[in-house]
Amino acid sequence: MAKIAMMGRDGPFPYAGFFYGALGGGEMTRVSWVGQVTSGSSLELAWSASRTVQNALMSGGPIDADRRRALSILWARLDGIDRSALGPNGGDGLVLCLLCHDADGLALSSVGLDGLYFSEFGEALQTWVRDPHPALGFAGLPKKRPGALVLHGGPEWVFAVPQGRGVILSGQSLASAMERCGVTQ
Amino acid sequence: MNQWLTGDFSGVNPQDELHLLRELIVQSLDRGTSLEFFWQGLSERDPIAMAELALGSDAISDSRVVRGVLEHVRSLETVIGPSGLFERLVDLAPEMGERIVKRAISFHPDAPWLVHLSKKVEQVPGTLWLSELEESVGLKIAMERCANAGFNQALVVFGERTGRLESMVALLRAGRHEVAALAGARALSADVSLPIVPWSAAVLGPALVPFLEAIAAQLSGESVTRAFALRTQEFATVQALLGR
Repeated sequence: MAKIAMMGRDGPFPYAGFFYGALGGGEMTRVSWVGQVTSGSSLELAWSASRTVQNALMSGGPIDADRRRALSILWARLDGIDRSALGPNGGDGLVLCLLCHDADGLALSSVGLDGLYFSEFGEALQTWVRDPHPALGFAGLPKKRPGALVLHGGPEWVFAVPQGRGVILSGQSLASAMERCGVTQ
Repeated sequence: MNQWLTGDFSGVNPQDELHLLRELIVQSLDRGTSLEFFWQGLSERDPIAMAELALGSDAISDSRVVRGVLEHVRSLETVIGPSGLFERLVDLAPEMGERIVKRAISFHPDAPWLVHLSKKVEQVPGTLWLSELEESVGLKIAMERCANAGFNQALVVFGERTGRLESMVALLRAGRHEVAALAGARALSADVSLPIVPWSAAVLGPALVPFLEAIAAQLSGESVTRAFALRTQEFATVQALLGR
């Protein structure tokens, strides 16, 4: 099952507003996500905003559906979010990548990303998709469902780069990419 | 020579009269005569001569001399680099070490050489550096330097004394996670309302949970443990460590 990671921002608090999680697995579709609410406010508000999105995605628990439908359900879980809980910009800076993995493969959809990269067998990263792409929606809570990437199988690792970072991860070693995304083994 | 005690060096090239100037200093120290205006005048007239007298190989190791010279370090810094200057002053009057370090901090709050000076003078290096800059915008850089230098104890004590999380953050950014957890736990014990989870999360992102577990392992006292448990309810492994 693919694991997902995302780069933080520059600065002393790169993961302000960051969140990640997973549900399901085994017989059920495994859904996972990584994201960041860039609220431009205090660390406490950023944390609170991240919990709002996290709790929305967790609500309803594991999803008993195939990977395409699971993706749609996850997006729908965000529809009821009170935007004022996401900080002064109402979640306009939301960056989020959703990954759904079932027995046949994976489906992926996102907002606020500049690119996605993958690694297999511990090898250096390769470019998967770069902006513009239907699976890379505009930052913020989507008004309509972003596009999706659906494929059979899937890589071992997926790395997401938020818009505006100006970083290209292709060619980076897996260890280096994990470090840049704050992932420890 | 008496006019020199008033700071008047007109008609004299001090660098040509160093032996007489040195003699005057010794006599004045013996008699308890003030050298305040002497140093004042010399610092304005000829900082090189002053440096030679106060810091050179024949300098007098006397705290009274160092005390007087300390008032004119800015002038001395025009002829000698501050790192060497302050270190030499400590060598000449170790008993004045803390006062010298404080003066160095006031003029050069983010100087990297303060690391060496702190180690030379303080039992717990970094203590003065942090306390002198407690309300200053220079505190952040000082903390970074202390964290990178391994001044763990000073940072932990500062966080506990002030109830602030910046020590924890500085240690995290320096990669010293174990000590950072201790710093966080101690700060929390001083103020249970501290937003320790948001601050930790903002630095660590996906590496948050192991750090919270490390903090949990450092906590002592029911009220702080309860406060931390309340803030970490969504993290099952942390709750387990806290016995919840």
